[in-house]
Amino acid sequence: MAIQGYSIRRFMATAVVALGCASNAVAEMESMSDQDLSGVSGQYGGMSLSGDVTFNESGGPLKGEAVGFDCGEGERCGARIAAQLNQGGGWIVLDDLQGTFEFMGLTLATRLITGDDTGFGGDAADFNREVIEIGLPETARFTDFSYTMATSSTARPGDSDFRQVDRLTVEMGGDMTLDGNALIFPTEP
Amino acid sequence: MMKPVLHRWFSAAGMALYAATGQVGAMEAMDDAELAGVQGQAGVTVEMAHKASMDRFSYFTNDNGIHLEDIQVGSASDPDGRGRRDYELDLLSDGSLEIGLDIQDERVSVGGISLDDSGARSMGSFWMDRDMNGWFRITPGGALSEEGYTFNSFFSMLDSRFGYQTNGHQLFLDDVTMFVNASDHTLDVENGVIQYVAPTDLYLDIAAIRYAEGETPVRGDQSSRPSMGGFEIDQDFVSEFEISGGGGRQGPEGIRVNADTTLNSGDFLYKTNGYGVELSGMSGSSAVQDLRIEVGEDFTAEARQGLAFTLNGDGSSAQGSLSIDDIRLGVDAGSRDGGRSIGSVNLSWLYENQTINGDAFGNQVYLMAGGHPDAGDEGMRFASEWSLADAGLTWTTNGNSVLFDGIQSWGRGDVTVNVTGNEELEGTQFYKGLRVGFDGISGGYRMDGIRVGSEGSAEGAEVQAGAELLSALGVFRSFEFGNMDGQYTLTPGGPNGDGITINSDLYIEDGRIGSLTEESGQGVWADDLSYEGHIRDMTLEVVQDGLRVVQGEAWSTMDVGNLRVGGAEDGASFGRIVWQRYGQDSEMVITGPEGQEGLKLALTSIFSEAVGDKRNRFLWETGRTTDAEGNPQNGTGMQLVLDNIHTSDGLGAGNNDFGVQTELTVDVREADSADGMQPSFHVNTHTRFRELNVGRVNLVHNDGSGNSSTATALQGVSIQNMDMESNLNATPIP
Repeated sequence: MAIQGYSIRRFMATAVVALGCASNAVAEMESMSDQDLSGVSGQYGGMSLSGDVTFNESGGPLKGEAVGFDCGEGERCGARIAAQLNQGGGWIVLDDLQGTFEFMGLTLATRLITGDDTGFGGDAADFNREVIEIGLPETARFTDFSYTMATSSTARPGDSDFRQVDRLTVEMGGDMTLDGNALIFPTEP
Repeated sequence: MMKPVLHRWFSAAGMALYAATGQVGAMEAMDDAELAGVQGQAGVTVEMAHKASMDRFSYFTNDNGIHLEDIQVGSASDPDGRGRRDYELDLLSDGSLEIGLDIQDERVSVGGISLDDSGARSMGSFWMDRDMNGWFRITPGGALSEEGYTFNSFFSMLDSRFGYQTNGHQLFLDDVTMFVNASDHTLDVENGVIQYVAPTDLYLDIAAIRYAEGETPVRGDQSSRPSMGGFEIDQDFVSEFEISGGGGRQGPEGIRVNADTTLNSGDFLYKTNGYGVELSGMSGSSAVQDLRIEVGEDFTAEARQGLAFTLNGDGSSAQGSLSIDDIRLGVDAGSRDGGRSIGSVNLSWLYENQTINGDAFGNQVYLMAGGHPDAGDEGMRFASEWSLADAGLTWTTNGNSVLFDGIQSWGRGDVTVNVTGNEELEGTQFYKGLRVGFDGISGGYRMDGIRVGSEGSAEGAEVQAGAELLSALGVFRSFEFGNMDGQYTLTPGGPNGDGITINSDLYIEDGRIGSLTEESGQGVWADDLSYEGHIRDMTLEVVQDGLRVVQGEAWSTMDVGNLRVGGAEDGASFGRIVWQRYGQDSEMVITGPEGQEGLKLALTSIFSEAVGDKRNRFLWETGRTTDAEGNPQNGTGMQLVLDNIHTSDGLGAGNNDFGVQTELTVDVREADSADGMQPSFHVNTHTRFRELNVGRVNLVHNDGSGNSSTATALQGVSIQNMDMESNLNATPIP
């Protein structure tokens, strides 16, 4: 049961986070007023998270196997995510993802939004429901964080006929100040 | 016949072995005064070679009876032989009666246990083979008056065996060694209540647990049969019992028990192949109030008869605490050296009546004849109700603690126990071993949250979320279910000799998992949950530095009807989520981090390619039509389907051995947070996989009248060379 249990349960946590991320794009960003914050105190369900996430700090499990992830000069070292849009067609790729993202004070809780809430352009009364509230971390830092957007002929760089055109490479470093909350609204009754 | 006392030699031999185990601290040596009392006395020796049988022994309360049938006493080694007992009786100068006993090659067996309404059903047969010697001394005068008695006793059991058999399949504890040192037990009767105080040293070594087929209990050497591993238990405790008549819950006849136990010290070891899981430095206490024992009718509408143990009166409760100084995984089973520490644990509990969701729960068990109905007439059924009103678990690593606080649990239903074989009977597949079945169980648990602080201060810390980070380990803030059926069958033998092989099937309906839950009742809920899971040939064994679990084949489907935010029943929904899992040879090793305390899990999850209906598949459905009651109808909305998710070794050779490898380390530590340095609940996750593929991403449109159309959004997704590490420290929201 143990393995059966942990895989399923890990899924639950993953699903919640994945949905959170998926919905993030459409969530309203609002600063919490002092009044809002005073309403939050006394809750005990939430938590504040601090920590870091690192991708492929020292290469990945395919490093050194001559399949395109060998971390040499100018070579790929990070993770690769490839998706094929059309049958028999090429692949759109987020390639060579690596680096570290640190954050301090990301909060996770549920929150009831009612007509008493301010700051939603007067729409709070229309919401009148609970939401998942992600309080953005005040401080966040990217260290050597980079990825490349590309198009490719094959999913794997080690496949025959592999050809790839890098479209865009992003490198990020330094501190960010994030302020506000992401509110995730369920839409079904 | 008169002769000098010799039985001291019996016990001396046992004492020498007892001391040789090196596990027990307190030993009762005979002092000079005691020896003086023996000197010059003469006694009676009784030597018996015996064989006896009794057709039936019955116990009745309120006209309901439980019956032990076909009781036999004879030789353990020879079906036609006789057991041997030697007694030596002596009267000591202080008026004590001392009985030396030496029992050799004796088997005591009970052919079946049934109740008045059992019909052909029986609880199965039990037997005990033993070589036992020791002495027993009764001295006039108890703890409360001269009319009571004081007992002292020491006895050893060597190379003994305890077995349980149902329907021609038997499971037995093999090569059992036990030493019991009872010093100054006192028995008094006061106002009609028996008062029994029992300070006891106990050492128990169960070398092996084995399985055999056959209608007749095994005899002779059985060491070639596979074993589940062994247990060693060493305890120094004092139990105080108050036992009275005065009636059960259902009539004027029955036994009432109050029992207080103080565990002064204790150690526990589970061992396979020379390695063990050790719980050391245990101490604690337990108090049971108003337990009643009788033969009566259970709490269901069928009013089935059972031997009832009820703890559900107005004043009934069971409360206690247990402290375990150190839990080590993978120690050397002989020397107890080595292994990895996962820290120390303190538990507290209170079982008493409580009302959950308007439903009253108490604590009661009714033991009945007959297990799973398809397995045969023999087996046990426990009709049970439990009510854990308040419990806490404090886990301490490296001087910092987390308290899982305000834990409640409740439920009711039937648990069945059979010993079964590899066979299909009446359409039910059984597996070889000890089968524990779940039949119509409903229940759940929930907790307030966690409190984190330095050792000794966690109780006063602010309650917060964070248990959610352990959802990968099956720890939730709350989990309840309307119905659970299923079974676990434990078979002796692992991949490397000793170990346990597990086959299981589990079905859960009307479930609900909660996270980020608030005192007000709002939270994030996986509601309207159903689950079906199957495991074949999973093995469990203790290895160097850890506990290793390997799945053979496992497949499951979890269907969350609504992922809600807000109220558990009426919160708005993100829609429905279905997660199908299929894997082979996934592995988990539980250990501690090297050089410090904590919990570390190394998980290898193999996601296998689809085989028929067994597959890894994720489905998210929204926009469902609703029925007349407003309940959304599954399969009527828009579905996003990630199908045939599978891992690969990524070299194009079709191998799938690497899987998704995750190392999960959990501990409590000082960490930097938004409020500065403070104790936090820390989870480190390091996940690596060579290749994780999604066969296809489809969008399925259902028109509500049974017609659907599928559009493929992505022909495939392939994620390669992933190596992701995260550190999360959970603290209260400032």
